[in-house]
Amino acid sequence: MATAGLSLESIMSIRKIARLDIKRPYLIKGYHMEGLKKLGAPETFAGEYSRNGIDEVFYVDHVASLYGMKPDLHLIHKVCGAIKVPLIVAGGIDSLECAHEVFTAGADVVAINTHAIHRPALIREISNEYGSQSTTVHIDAKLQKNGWWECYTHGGREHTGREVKDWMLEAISHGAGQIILSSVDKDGLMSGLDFELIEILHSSCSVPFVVSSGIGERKHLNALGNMAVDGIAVGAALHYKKINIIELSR
Amino acid sequence: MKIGIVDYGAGNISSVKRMLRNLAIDQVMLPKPTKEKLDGIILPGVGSFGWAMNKLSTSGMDEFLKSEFESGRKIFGICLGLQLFYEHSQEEEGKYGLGILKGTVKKLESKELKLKVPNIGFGSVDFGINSKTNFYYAHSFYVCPEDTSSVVASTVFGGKAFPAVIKSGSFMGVQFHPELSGDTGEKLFKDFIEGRA
Repeated sequence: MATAGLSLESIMSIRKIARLDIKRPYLIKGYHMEGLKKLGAPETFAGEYSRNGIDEVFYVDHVASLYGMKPDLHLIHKVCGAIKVPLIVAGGIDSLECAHEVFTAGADVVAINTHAIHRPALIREISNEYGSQSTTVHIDAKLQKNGWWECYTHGGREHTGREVKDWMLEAISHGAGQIILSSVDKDGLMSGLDFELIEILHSSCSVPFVVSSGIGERKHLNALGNMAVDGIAVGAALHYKKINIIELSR
Repeated sequence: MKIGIVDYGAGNISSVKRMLRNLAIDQVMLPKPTKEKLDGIILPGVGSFGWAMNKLSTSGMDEFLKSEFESGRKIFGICLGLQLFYEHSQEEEGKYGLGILKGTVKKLESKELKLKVPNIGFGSVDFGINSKTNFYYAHSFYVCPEDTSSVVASTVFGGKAFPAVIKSGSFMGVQFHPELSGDTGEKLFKDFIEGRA
């Protein structure tokens, strides 16, 4: 198989992360972060992925910030109990106290988007207490008509006026120990990653850089070439069994 | 069998509790010293070096850990829980660690290495004798023990080798997270606590 410049060693070292989009208490999947379809119990899917060798699980509560809800601690605890690998939790984390509850419920890492953009000091507050390795900033980006990528909040619905690279660098300067990048345009399509977007960011990301949205088959990863990507998050393609974890790890 | 988990009052130790639950080992949280006779103590890694030391000294857990170590109690340090056993850390200059073991804690420097900091992900841990196993790392610091013979396994990231597993007396410390490393991680802890590692 042609590997388009991606060496075996770099494929091996890329972290494989199962992405669970949640509309409590269900695992869901949508297109462009809308039109959500219920797939089942997130803990069932997470447990299976953990047993089959996924490196990490990324739990994204899609509606928490949108409806101003607190994270579902009970559901986070259930997912944590079903796996034996790290759990990254995103969605609705709006304060250090809230992050504390989410960690106590079972998160190993928290990821913030909406509330970090509104109040960047939140990143430092969490990072100071829990360490940068437990503090991730999650970015939802969407291409705008005049050719720039804008950060979105509230599950891919609200404009922020923030340019994606500018915000990423600011988030790192506030203590983010990892960036997870999603593309609103590619979400759920399984037609390949948003390479134009990744191209803009990968070389200036000084902390671990995880890309999400659009992976539908193994060969989509080859196109990452020599980009400085440290992890990939796969959702729909795993849930719909279009790709399996062993295939991802090969 | 019963294991105490040192509780800094900070949160993210659910995965440590889960590991013990999966191994069917009884657990008790230790926010302060106890007279209960335990089969072992886990010092998890939560927060930063200085912050964690403050918590340990406020609760009296620093002196408790020293006396438990001297009495030969099995103690298992995870990530920062390993680093706290040493004297100093670059994470917080001027702050003393537990100082039970001689040595310092240094920051991973991304400039000289092909490595992003924090270093996150699975790494191959070399136990020698053809025995390599993958464990999960999430850290920005590593230990530099004075007693190099205490290093029983190491890991290479970005071309740099650093200690992965330290054994000294009844103490075992690991830079990685066995509680986040699947069945392999659980097995390592079980082997330690049952005296096979």
